[in-house]
Amino acid sequence: MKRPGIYGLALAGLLVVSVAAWWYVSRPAGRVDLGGGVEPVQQAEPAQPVEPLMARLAIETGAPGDEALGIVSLFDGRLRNRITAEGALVSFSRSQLDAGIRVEFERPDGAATAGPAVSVVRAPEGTPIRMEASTTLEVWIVMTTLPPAGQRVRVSLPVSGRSVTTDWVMMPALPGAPADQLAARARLQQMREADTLAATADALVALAPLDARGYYYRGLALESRGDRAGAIAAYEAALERTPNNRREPPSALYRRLAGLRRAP
Amino acid sequence: MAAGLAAATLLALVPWRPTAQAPARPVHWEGTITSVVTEDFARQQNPFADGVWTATFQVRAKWLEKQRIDVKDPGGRTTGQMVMLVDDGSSWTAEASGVAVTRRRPERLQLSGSGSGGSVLQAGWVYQSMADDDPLQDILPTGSYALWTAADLQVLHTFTATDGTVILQRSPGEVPPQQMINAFGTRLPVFFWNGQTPVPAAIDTTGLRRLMANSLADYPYADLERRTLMDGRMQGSFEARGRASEAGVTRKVTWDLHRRLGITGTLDAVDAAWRPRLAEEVTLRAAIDPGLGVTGRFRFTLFDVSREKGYALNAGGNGTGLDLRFSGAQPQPMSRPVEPPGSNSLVIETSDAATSASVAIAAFDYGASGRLKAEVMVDGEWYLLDAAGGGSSITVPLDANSNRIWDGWEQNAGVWGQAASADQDDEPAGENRGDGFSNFEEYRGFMVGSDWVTTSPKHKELFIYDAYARGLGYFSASGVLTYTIQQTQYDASRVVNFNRGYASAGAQKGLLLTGDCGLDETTAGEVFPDVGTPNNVDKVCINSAVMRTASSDEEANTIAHELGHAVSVEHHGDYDEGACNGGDDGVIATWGGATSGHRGCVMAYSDAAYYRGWDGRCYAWTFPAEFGDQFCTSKAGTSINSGARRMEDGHPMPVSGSSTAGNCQHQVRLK
Ligand SMILES: [Zn+2]
Ligand SMILES: [Zn+2]
Repeated sequence: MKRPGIYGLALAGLLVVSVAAWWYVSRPAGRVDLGGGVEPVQQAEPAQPVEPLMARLAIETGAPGDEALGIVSLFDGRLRNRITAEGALVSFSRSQLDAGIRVEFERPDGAATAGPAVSVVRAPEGTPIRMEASTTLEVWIVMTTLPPAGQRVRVSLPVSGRSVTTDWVMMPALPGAPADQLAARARLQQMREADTLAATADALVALAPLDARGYYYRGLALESRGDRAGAIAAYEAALERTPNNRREPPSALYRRLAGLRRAP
Repeated sequence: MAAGLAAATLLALVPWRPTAQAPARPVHWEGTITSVVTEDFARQQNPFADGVWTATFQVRAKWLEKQRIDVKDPGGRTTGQMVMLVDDGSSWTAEASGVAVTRRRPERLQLSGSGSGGSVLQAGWVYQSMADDDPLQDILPTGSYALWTAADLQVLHTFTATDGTVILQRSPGEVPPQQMINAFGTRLPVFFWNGQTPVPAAIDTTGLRRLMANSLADYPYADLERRTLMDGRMQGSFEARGRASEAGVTRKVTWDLHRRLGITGTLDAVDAAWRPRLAEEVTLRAAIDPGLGVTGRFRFTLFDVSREKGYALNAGGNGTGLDLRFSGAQPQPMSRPVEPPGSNSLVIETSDAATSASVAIAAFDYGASGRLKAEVMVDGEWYLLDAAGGGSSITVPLDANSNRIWDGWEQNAGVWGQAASADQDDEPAGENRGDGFSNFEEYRGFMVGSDWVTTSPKHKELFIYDAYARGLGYFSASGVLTYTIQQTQYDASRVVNFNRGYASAGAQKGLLLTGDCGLDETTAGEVFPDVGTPNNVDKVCINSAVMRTASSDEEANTIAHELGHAVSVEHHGDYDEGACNGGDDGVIATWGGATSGHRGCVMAYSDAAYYRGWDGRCYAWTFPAEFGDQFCTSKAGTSINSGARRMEDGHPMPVSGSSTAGNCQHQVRLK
């Protein structure tokens, strides 16, 4: 589903919220009244929040002035940690999500304060969903008012009728160099707006013809349009301009290239 | 006067009947007697010497209530009992010293000696009146007692001239011993039953009154007071001075003895299946031996209690309160527990007397440990109960080897006999043992999300904060067991065991897996700053934008590959970069290089732009789409890397052959 309004102005930075969710266990049985005895001597005991799901947040920013994308990822950590064999049953209500999702900022004293309003642009469908070990559910939100770089941010959202909160994530600094700004914008676009990606990639190639990134994003845009020959040429140009001597090679590029070359 | 004389045959005057009557259970009297004998020559009206000799006896008294002799009035009614005492393990020590100087000759006589010995009680009794109209109450109020104690200290006499020349020395045995002879309460006669005389079953009041008339008041060192128990204790002092030839001899005696019932009982062992878990309790039972037929108040003392930070290695704040405490809800009414300041202990008492009591103990740490002892108070005295397994206390939890790890865990885990600080994990076997966590730490455990886990002392385990949130891909193939933790479940330096204390193997870090590293657009993943152990790798990066266009296989492979680097695993070999045969620049796979070896290994590169074959020539070639999902265990090439050297379609095969590094599973290092 396309929402041109959100990206209308020179591609707002996307704030990608990635929420990973865990189901929490109930407390172990056999608990006792601890109130009687001695004063609990300087020992902050059970303070662990008990929530059904756990969530992680990833923030993707574009150029200054762009909106940011937040990706909230939800997963069943108990399954991944082999603590349980049956995954949680998770359900989403889009209307509850729209109404209940909140961005929070961390204050210096560790408390949370309300952040700016956000809109949900993507959420899981088809509920309830039985979580499996490999399942990661994502809720994408867009922020138009960005927190300052370095601000710690988290998101809470209603899932399965209860509130789930992500871990804190630090707001990244926005890129300064023009080519980096365009690359950041392209990175966001390739995640969900392939047609606008082409224009950004062309702008980046024009601005920085020796920068591999413009050709790589151009290749992605062309590939998504079905222009196989154009994509191969763009990737080859990117490969030619990719810096050497890194520990890991540009494997993503090879794989795309190899995939296109193998294709009939 | 010899102590032996105490075997006064006075008893013979009494019509004893030889019937024994044993007490239901052993009753002891215990305490101390101090007796100081001073001989002041100046006061002896002896014209030949001046000086003082002193002998001090310290007695640790222990008597046993041996028999009870009924005292019957003329009508045959039992009006009281004489409780006969015998020595039962007393001991004494003594020292003597002093100098007497002659007045007429330049000589002096020096006394010296020290010694120790056992049994001191020659005879003793306590009278218990049993009738309000006891006909003996005028001479024998209830609680009246008498004791006769004696000990001899062998001493050395040395005559010296004033210039120090020894004139004569007489060794112990050649001179009379210094004697402790004390008769307490002997305003009443000390009458004896000395252990050899047949035990009488009864004595009549008339006979006893006649016996009492035989006062030993003439004995110069007798206590002239009438002694009765005060607050259940034999307690007092007297000073007696000798007369006539013994003028100048003073005996100062103080004593304090209390009655100890033979109260015995048991404290049961802790449930062998119980291990500490946060806020879970265990109940322990103590009981007086049932045959005794008495009740008492119970006191339980928890001591040597651990004070680990928080309640698990990575949770519970940094408080160091006692890890074991008495539960707020107890099986019977109990006092509020008391924590003696500066101690690692807690004390709680039952409110009411009973034959048994139980106490509930709650754990405030998954690694909590301590010891428990139980006492019972009967007739104002505390008696320590025997702990299960011998000794005076039990461990909580069961911990026969006292290393603060529940024995069941060590046995189940197969590490019985290892030190609590051992870190010997060897699954999967690799370049080194251990995962950075000691046996005690693996036992104490970690919070993983909302779950507490105790980890394995044999299996290498790794904690990962997965901010990337898409799982760990094929990393499980490394054989390392992973735990996905919360952001707050390691510290700002990524140390997982930040609440470590006892028997730690040192700080061990977890890994940060993140999609937020600003990676180059075409790079799938990277570790920073370099390949190494989790303690050296700052972060493991996956390019989330790249992965958005990748297959799930590729993503799972990439995550496992980068995590592999973060547990010290290197590539299968190197690679070159450059152009081949006039093409674009790109990665050139080399013989025995990054693409070599096991094609199914996540650490092997699946692609390159070119490869340089065994013939040394460079070929443009499209690698098959394969993503490894294993950690190889050998260097052998598989698939396109296997087989004899040959040419296929103008290309040399195998492509890259066996790997140079390889055996990736063996390279895994966690510390
Ligand atoms: Zn690598
Ligand atoms: Zn390998």
